Amino acid sequence: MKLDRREFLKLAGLTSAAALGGRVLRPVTASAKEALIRGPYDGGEWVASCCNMCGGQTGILCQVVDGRLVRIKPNDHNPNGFSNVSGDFFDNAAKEGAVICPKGNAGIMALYDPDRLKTPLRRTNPEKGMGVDPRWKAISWEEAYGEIASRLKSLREANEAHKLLWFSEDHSFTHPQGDFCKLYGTPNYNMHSNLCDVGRKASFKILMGDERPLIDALNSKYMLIFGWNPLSATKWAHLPRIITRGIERGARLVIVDPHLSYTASKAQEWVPIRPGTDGALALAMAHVILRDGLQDQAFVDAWVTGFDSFREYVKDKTPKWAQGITTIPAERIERLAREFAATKPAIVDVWSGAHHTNGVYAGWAIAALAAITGNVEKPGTLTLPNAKGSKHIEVEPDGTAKKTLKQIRLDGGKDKWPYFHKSGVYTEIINRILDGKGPYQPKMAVIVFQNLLMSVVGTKNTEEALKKLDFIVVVDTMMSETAQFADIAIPGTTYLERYDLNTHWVTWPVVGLRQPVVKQLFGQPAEYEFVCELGRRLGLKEENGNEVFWQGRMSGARIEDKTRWYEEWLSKELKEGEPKVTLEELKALPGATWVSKKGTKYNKHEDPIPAEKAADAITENNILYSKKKDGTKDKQIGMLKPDGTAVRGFFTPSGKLELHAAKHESKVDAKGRPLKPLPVYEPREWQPSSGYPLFLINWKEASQTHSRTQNNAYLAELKSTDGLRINAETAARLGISDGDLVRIESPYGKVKMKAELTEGIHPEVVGTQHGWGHWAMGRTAKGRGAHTGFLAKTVACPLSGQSLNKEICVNVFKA
Amino acid sequence: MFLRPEEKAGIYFLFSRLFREAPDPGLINEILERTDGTGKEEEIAVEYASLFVVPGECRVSPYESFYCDSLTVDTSTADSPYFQAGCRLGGMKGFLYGVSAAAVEKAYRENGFEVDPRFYDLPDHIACELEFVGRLYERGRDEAARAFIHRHLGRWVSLFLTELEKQKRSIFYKRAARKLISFLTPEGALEGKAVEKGGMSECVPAKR
Ligand code: SF4
Repeated sequence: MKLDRREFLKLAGLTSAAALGGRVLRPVTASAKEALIRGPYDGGEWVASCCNMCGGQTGILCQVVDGRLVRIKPNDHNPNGFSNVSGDFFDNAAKEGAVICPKGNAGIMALYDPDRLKTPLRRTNPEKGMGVDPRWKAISWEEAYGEIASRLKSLREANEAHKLLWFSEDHSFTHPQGDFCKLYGTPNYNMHSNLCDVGRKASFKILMGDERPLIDALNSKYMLIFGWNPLSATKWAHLPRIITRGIERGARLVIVDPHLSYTASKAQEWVPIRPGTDGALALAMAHVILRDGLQDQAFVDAWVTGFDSFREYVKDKTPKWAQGITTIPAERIERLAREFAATKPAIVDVWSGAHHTNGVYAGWAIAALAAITGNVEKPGTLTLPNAKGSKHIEVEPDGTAKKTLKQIRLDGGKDKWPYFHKSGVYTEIINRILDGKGPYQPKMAVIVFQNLLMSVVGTKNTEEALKKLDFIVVVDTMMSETAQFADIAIPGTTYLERYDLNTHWVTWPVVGLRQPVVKQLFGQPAEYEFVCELGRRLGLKEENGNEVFWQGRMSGARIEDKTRWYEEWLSKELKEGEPKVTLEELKALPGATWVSKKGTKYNKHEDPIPAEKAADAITENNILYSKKKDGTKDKQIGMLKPDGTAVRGFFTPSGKLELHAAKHESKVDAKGRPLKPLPVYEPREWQPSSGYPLFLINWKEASQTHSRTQNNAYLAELKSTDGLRINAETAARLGISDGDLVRIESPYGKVKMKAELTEGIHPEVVGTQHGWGHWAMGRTAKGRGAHTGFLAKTVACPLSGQSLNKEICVNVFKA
Repeated sequence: MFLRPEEKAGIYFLFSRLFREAPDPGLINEILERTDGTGKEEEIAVEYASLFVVPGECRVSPYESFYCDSLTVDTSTADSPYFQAGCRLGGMKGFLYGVSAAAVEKAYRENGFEVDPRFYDLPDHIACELEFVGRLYERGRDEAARAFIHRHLGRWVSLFLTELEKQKRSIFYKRAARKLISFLTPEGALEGKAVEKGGMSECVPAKR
């Protein structure tokens, strides 16, 4: 195209007209001038914070030069990247230094990802669906806030606040979101955990009354781990260190998993097992232990209840019986049982291996092995967590909110699920939206950092459910598959641009600070500021008229600046919580981490209850409860031993480890079936058939977090995709060679992947790393690998609401 | 074709405006010499968003860092089993806020400017760089303008515009790209050689 001077002059002339609006540069301000004088490249500032590339919250140090983050390294002052026991941390952390995992190292690329969302977007195409172009239009923040607030307002004014569904990440700014929901009036606040470990939580809750015991791997002599890949699927960066240290100090590591995971490759023994049968293996091991009298009888007598009925139950659960179920030879089960019982201290644990219909009972059976061998609360065993940290200040909703808060949750809540977790049941929500058989039809959803299409089993159902909602807001740093269904998409912040408090999962109280390392890249609000702004626009108040989203929690003053408002919020949580410091004081602590000096304690169940406390407690059936202000029964605090002394015990109905749960006798699961009082083995529901003869499982590795990091350029370099791992013999039978493109089919869908032949997977099983197969999100993520959610059924464990990510059967064909 | 500095400045401002956000009906009418800009507004706004805002196939990254900066990860001490054979560890490109972004920010400041915080975007965005050149011309600082073109804008704008021309989604902006090319060619801003000469790069040690 040829252009002449006349045309250019015309274009130039336009600029004098008001047509161009404002400009993007402005004269330099005084403060910015100072910023010119910065140190050399390897100078800059180091800011201590916490990683959030996964939910692990490992301590990090971030080097910032000229406003740019240039380096992330481990924060030696934060135990989470070093050890979960205090002695090891206090003695060795400074000498040896902490670690971060590959994902943590790649954090810079999450911040500077070229595909980040940067401005609010509104869809102009009302049609929604996978592959449908939303025809986005950039809109101003004012327009975005205005529209979202007015939608929320109309819902609330119509007394339909409960028809708002809120989905959030489970480790970031959950308190302001949960409080928003409460003050707004919806009981439907949900978060990630029900896709993760609520099955495990239920298993341990039944046995020991605590949801999340931790493994003291460093001091252990035997680690028997079912369905968990802790050396690679690191959620806590200290795990690989303490487990390998444990091995160096003479521990034996045994991994029970259908797949030869990275952890299994470092173990002394890999026990390939048929998926969903771990409960049978655990019961057969218990059978051997009890048959041969290898239990720790003194511990059992003092601290275990239901032993006799359990012994009776496992009487016929012989290794031979288990062999037929698990495919593990009976002699091997005998040997494993004897080794495990004879080597002390020992750990036995399970994580996402419990993602199947027998999962909670299986986890309980596995945990029972710890109980009968006395491997609880001693150095080198499973220990009760002491994760005291910041304190959530409860809000009191007003009358309008209370009306709709009384509504039953869409997923049925704790009345429906005997081990309901506050994270909700995503699969149930999706099924109820789809069939309309819930207590009501929700209208609106706010989805914060949850990519439901990639993370909830049964992708097609998720798609259809999302299509049924009137209005969806998605907050995310990326244009995720789910964000594609938003009516308004809001650019989120990465963990390097915002605050959070992290109560760390080590065995003694530690709180780490996450703080903005650089300013928000696109001037977007941090998520708590977004929620705060909505709260303000809606005029949400507590019952006493207190305006939570305006009021500074420390000063009591009305605070305009939302960052400052949140800083006071955090200060209050710290002050009232275990650390008793302000935010500023926490920032000034080494590594911005508060570490309790008290350190790791064992045998906490034997801790005496102070006499005054015991005297003030309400005692019922030998269990001690604290009192509420009105004198009624509050939380369980202890139990009376036969000799009358009051000790902590375990927070179960009996105060002891329960191999028989009496309370199950009066309860039913979400399907209305009576709960079993014992950790029974029952075949999982979805079994292979002639049409779909193979088990499909999935797992996680250090190279990616769930389905959320696949657009990260560093991580893509580390491992660029994943194929379908298939046993070489099985492949030969199916005429599949290494590298062949294969079609994987289930009754619910089909996907294609490259076959990777291996001896390292059970012959009846195929599997792949979870999280690949993005069809949106960004240019790096898109089109790598395949998403197995298409093959799954939208179903949860009827006890815990755990989504059954690993209960899938498929057929595999050469494509 | 001779253009006086303030005329050049005007053209830089116009293009800066077009890349800053989708044009409003008035501007559309002026540019397209028609009167039905109102009808076009949404169409062009969607085109703008799909080209410069929404991640996806059609996105043309409007940042200097994306094209120019490279990063090398020194993994000599890494022993991770996850590094695949053939893993490319040097010269990684295509991310935001690289050294170029910090460098242009510095150049703005040295010349008395900074990015207005109400512009919710990065300093090496095409709109910022174009406006900055315009601002320099406007003040008669031709030398400084040319130097900035040489050091920054000229290193990547041709790559950006070529990408933009190729995009199927690009209709209004294809015309804009062509106009900008024909304007910038005599400015000597399209040589784009600096990129091959190795733009800015930095090395990040993987070890602690
Ligand atoms: S395990 Fe890795 S990704 Fe997760 S918080 Fe720790 S360093 Fe970050």
